[in-house]
Amino acid sequence: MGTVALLQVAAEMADRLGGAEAGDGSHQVLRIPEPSRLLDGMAEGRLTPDVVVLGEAVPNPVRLVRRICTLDRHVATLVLCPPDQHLRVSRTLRRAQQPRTDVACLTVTDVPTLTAWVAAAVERVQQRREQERVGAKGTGTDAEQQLKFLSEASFHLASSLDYPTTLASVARLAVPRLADWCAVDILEEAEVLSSVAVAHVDPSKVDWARDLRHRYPSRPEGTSAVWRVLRSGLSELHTDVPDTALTAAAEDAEHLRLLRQIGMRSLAVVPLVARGRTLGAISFVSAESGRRFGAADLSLMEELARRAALAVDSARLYRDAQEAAQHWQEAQALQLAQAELGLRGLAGDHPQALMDDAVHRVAGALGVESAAVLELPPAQRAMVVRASTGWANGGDGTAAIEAGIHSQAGYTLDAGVPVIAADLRQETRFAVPPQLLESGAISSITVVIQGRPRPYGILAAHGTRARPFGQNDISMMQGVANVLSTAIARYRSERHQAVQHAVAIALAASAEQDDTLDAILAAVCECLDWEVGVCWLPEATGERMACSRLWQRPGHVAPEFVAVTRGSSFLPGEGLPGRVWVGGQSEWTEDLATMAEFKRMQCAVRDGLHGAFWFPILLGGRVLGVMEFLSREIRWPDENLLQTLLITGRQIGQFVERKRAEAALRASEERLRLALEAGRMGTWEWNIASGDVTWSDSLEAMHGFAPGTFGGTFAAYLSHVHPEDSPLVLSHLSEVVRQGTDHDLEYRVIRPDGAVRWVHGTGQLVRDADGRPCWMIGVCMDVTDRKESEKQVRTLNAQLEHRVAERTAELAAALTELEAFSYSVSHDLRAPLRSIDGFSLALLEDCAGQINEQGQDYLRRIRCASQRMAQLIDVLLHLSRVTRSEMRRTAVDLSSLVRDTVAELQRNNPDRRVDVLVQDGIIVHGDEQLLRLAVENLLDNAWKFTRRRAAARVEFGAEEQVGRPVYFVRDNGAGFDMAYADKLFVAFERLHGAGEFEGVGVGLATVHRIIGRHGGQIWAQAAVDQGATFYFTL
Amino acid sequence: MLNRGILLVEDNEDHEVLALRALRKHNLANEITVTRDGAEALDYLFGMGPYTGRDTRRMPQVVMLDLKLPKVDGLEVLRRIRADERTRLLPVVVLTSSDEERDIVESYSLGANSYIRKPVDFQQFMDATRQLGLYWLVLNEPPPGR
Repeated sequence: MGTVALLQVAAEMADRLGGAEAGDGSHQVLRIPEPSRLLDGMAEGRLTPDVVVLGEAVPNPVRLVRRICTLDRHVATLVLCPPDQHLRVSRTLRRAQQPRTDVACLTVTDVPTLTAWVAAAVERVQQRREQERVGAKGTGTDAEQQLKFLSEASFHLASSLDYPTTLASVARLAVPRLADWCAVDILEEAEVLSSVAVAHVDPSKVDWARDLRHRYPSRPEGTSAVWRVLRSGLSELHTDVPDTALTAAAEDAEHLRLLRQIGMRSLAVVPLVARGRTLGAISFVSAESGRRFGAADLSLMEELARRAALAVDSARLYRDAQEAAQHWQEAQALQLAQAELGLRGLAGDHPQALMDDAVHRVAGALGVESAAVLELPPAQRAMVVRASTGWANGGDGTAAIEAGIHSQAGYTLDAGVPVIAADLRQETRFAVPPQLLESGAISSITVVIQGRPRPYGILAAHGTRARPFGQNDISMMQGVANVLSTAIARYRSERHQAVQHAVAIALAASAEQDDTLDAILAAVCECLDWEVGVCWLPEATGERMACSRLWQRPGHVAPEFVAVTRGSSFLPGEGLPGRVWVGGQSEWTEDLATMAEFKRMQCAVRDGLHGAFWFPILLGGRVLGVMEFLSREIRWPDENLLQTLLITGRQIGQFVERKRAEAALRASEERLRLALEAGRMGTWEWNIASGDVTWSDSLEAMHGFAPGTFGGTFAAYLSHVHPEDSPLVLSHLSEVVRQGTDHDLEYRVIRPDGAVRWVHGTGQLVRDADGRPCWMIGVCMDVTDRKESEKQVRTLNAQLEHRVAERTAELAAALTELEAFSYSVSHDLRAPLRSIDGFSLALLEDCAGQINEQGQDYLRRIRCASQRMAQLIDVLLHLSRVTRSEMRRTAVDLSSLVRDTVAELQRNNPDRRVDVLVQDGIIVHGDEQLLRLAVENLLDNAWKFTRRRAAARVEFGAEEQVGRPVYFVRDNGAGFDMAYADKLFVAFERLHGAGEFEGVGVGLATVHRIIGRHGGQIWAQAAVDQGATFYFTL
Repeated sequence: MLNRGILLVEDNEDHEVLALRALRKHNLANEITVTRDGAEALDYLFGMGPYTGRDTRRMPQVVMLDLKLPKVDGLEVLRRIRADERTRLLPVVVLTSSDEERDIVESYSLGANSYIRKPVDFQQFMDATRQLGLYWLVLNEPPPGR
């Protein structure tokens, strides 16, 4: 039964050391709070612990250990220390413990080793005490010496977890006690053997041996004993090493020479086996001493190897555990960074704050110098630094960097997966900007911050030393990028919803147009972080678009831009508002600095504004106005926002149109009211089912009522209708309702003051869903004045008709008289002439013998005169007939008439040669008979008066004079003196002697009358012997 | 054939004399009956008044009818001639001073066989009479059954 004293050991650890784990309660555990008690107890012999365990908190453990060892040389001491102090404490202990006593330093975390060590130590100490008790001191037996050796080896092995060191100590311990040479080889990994210790009594030979092993390393495929043992896991003992064995093992002559040089007499190789696994091997060589290893030696070697293997295994386990813990801690740190960021994202922090935080966390977690968030603009433009740490140009949103497809960012976007550059100086996949290298960046990792519909941008980290990035790093970067992506998307979505909400509220409030537009500008700016918003609307003339409303963020000062904008107006297509006005499409720029052609925009740049966009206020396809927004950052609206604002633009469009329509409706109602008043009209509604009748104010006034005094029922309405007309009104209205026809009726009403007025009512039926007439609405107009006017007109018309009838009768009588006169002339005046001529002829024929030549001449003259008179009577009658005959107007082809007449003239005068020129297709409206007569007369004259011309020429045609068609008959005949032109158209007037040209002088008079009857004019142009031209119009 | 004669209805004695002279000159006056007005002409044709008992089966070969007549005018005479079964097909030549269109139209529409305007130049009248007599008295085949 051993005793373990625990000095200031933490309770938890004490329980474990004293509990089941510590070895089935095989030893007694004393818990001692103070070092002095232990020391006093030991000094007084009250306490004889086999093992003293010093807790972490024990001050100055090295000194205490020394005092404990002084008090009891067999006691074993174990110093517990935190893992991070293990190395320091164990080194101090090793230096301080000369001669070596049974002291170990172990970390508190390695409980299995602790308990194992304590159990073994108790056993060791008790053996030592037992040996002392039996009096076996000094030399001791073989067994005792072996035990002592093993105990010493165990002490070394337990002294540290640094197994290469402890194994080296063990190897040194083995020479020359067990062998002349001792070498320890450990399998670092499969097939890789590492020589951790070579020992020889003469240290100078160690280097020689190392050199040998270096020159001729034992290979797995070789014949070396070490590898055989490693594979089999079984010891090999070669009591004798014959030269043949060396020859077989040697790779070449030099190797053989060197091997021989060792002078190997005996060889033993034992495996280091722990938990069934071969961890390495220890080789023992006997040379200078000439010892030959026996079974007993091998047994000791194996025991040593077993203990060494346990130590290696423990150390390795510990190392693995440490590494795992380290790895876990790192991963935890990364995950923590990511998780905290995620929480902020969930909390709805502004993406900008999140990005600022993210770059710092990423840099910290990765242990790199710089990190940044780069936003990807639409199209291939420079990326904008949104947030950064360790960068020369900061993330205030005003710096842009080139990030084409050849950059790492571009490459990352293209690849869609995280891109790691362990050493940018060696990079071949993408171009590395020289500035980046100059800034000291060597390694980098970039991941995509996803977005919809396109990636938001890139999260990048740069380090100043070449290093690989592990899976944890990648996961963390991607995780952070995902947090940003989600936060940005959600923020945008929220902002868009906020805009729509704010706009909807502003529109729903339906305040005055200016107030509503201000509210919308403010909502868009505040929700979407724009500094200035402007609404452009066409001026009254519609020719130019002017700044209607302007909103700017309180505190933001853009004095020049605001002043210039308020005074600006644009023609269609002019400036950016004008461009949107014409195009109807949204426009944007991430930086106004690129728009040097727009002067107003340069003012904006001077005022520190960068990003801007414009969208149209639309109504259908019509642009009613333009909205303009400007930001102090280089930025652009994303596609979703443009979509959202396009809808907003349409909503505003409908609002503006509704306002316009409201104004128009008010104006229209006012006009209608004025029109109704001015026109003595009113509107009414009749609910057919209920019999309710509503009159407009003007209708009441028309009926002589004060406003609001009309009864409001159909019966009341009917009671005001004139009693003589009410049956008509009633039957008419019931007919309208039954037949579904329109109401349209004039009837009389009686005003309260007894005045009778004529009204004209019109109306239309309104049907319910089943098609039944339910309402009638209409207009009623006072038509009394019109009725009176109509009456007057009828009276006047009657009088006029009477007068016309009287005149017509008078004219008819006159005409009858004239006709009777003509008839009488034709009969009664001609009859005596016939007698005169007839009897004169009878005289000449029957009594020629009784009348002398002179008498006969007289008789012939009588006959001539009577015939001449008959001719004059005929002409006179003819002329009167032209005046009297009835006009029958039709389309008349004058050209055809002329041609017929000319043909007739030619037939009657076959020997005449007249050059006749007739213009075709002259068609007029008139009486064909009369026009034929006129044409005959004119052509007859032309024909007649050209008789003396060798080259007679007659022409008919039409020309335009003073905007009307003028027809003419032209000849190159005798012509006349224009001095007598006024007699031309007078009947029986002749400008030529009868002897010169025959005729009675009524031809042109006839023509004159015919043209006159057609409402036309006739005139002539002529000169003696120069021909004549007769012009006429119709 | 020639003995069937002419009925001349003419109120103007001068014209009667001149007409008879013209007819005689052309040997067409073998039997010429002259009536002074329309009523007498109708009496003659239908055997009434002074002509009661006249053999109305003996009708003149042609009636030369002036339009402007006392009592019953020429157009009325013509209407009656055409209205009576006995004289329905009797050739009637209107011989008048009028060249009023309405007279011409009405004459033809009442069934006049010819319309001749009396010219003032008597020589022309002579020529016309000659042609007229020749046609109606010599060349024209009278309607059957007379």
